[in-house]
Amino acid sequence: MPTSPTRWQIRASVFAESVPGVAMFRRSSRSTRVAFAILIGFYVVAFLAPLIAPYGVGEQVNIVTMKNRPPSAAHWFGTDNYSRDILTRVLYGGRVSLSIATLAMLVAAFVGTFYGLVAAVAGGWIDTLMMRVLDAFLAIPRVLLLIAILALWNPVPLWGLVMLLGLTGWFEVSRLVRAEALSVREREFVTAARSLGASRRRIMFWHLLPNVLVPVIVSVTTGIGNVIVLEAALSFIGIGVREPQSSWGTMFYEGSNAYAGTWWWALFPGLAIVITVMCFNILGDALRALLDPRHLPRAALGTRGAAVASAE
Amino acid sequence: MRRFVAVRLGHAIVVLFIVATIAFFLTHLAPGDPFALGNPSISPAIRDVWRKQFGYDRPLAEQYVRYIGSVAQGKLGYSHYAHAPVAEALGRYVPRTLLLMGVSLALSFLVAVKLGVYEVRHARTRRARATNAASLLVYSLPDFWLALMMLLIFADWLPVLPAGGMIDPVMHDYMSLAGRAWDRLKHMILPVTTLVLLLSAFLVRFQRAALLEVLPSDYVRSARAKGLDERTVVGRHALRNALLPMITLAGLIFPALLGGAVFVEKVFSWPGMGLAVVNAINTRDYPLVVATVVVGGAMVVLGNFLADVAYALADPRIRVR
Repeated sequence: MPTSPTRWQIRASVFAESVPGVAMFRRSSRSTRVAFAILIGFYVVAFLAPLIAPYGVGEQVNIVTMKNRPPSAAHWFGTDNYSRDILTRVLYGGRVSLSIATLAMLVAAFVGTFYGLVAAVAGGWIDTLMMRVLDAFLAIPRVLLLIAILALWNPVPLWGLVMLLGLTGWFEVSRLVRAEALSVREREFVTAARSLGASRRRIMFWHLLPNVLVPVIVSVTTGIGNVIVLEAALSFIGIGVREPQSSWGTMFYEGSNAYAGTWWWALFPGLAIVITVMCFNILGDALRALLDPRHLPRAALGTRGAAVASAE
Repeated sequence: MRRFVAVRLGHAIVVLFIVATIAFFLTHLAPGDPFALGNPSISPAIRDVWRKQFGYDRPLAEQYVRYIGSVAQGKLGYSHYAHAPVAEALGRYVPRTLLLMGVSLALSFLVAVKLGVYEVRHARTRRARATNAASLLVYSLPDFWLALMMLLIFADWLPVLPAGGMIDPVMHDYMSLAGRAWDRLKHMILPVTTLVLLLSAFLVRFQRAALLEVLPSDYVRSARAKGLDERTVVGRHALRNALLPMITLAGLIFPALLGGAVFVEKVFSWPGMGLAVVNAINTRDYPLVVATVVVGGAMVVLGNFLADVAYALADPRIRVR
């Protein structure tokens, strides 16, 4: 007697289908793969910073002779005003920057998915009200709001910064989730589940949630890049990550305030920010193209492409 | 059309009310108040007198009603630092930010539209790929980073342009009329260029997508079948329809623009709203910091409203709905 798959096996397969990793990697371009590899590398290096870093965190090599030294064999990225090794600080700063951005976007994904799903499932006036509130949230300039909060609730601990960045970053996610959930809700398997007597909560978590994860993953990917810039910008005006902790943004802020001759102090953390953000953008673009094939440039290009696209 | 405008205006007022409410509770739930910090030799008794003077000792509900009233009257609270209603203190800065943003937005639309048409027309050639990669690169640059690099290159290494401010602080009053105009223009070049680079890199991606979306349409095929050259087909027939989503984008881009302006203004010491916020943090002028959230919200709402109206004017189908 052939055994039918268990409930958990079905759930696992539903879940696996909604994760775009496999399909994406097969179709990805070279630049996407490079960007992905660089990001993985940055995360690994940042995670292993205590093992890799040539000097200790905050270690002052020699405050008299090793101050403001340009890049050399012993100090690849040079040293700063307090004779700290900049390579070491960039590694540890990456830990702070990457984990703040990643955790913040996880918070955003969580809140945004939940809000969007509830709005889509509830429907009616609750949905209308929730969307109006969302409109109001979207009208608040995020940067000005964050500046106001960080200035007033000074000093904000790191977990507070993560929550703030996350709680001001979920609006777009919940819009996408709601739109996706509204269309999934009309599909046959949801009707089937409903006719079998599944509760609203069950439909929401077991049937809708796995099907809205793709847009969530896409917006989280681009979101992380944005949050890295945002955190760096806030640190740049002195209200983001503060000493003794330092992110790439904090280091860039210190470096840009320093004597103009010590270009290496600001250059390397600045480059780290730019490279990371660019990789996240490339990855986000690739994911979006996968999600919405109409935006694939090739499909619509030229007369032959146009004919194919309009025939579909 | 009149009904459309009225409904949108109603939405705008509701949104502004919510923004003001959020801004109020942010200030008043925060630990401490503007008088808790500062010179430690000020006695608690004096701080209490100040609190009483500015109404910080009243019940929260009363303060809330007062604040909403103040926003409705356009005063936006009272700035302890400037000893004037916040609107008065902020009034000088906002037009300068609007000037910077308006010029940058207009220029970057021009650049983005031209570049978008160029990239679509020359798609899959090396040059288009190069501009495409360049726009992705610029799009990924943090605003403060690019601003600082521009400053470093054009004001420090090659000292051809002034490093900051709106006018030459010493010589401006002694210049001829044309000299003053040139002085103002010179001070605008760096911040505007920075914003235009960032904004057009952002916009051109949408312009390209919008063009690619309309290219498969029937009217584009008929235009091609008529034997029109590719420049007319893309640059005129396709572009007119691809401009519609850009109008919406102009409204949506406002929050990002305001945020970006804060850091660009800070780097170039452009005395606008962004610089005012950063300075207000240092002087603990919290009512002003919070007011910028409300003013920023108002600008965003106004931007969206104008975009909606422009969209309805450009596309009659919207009005019928």
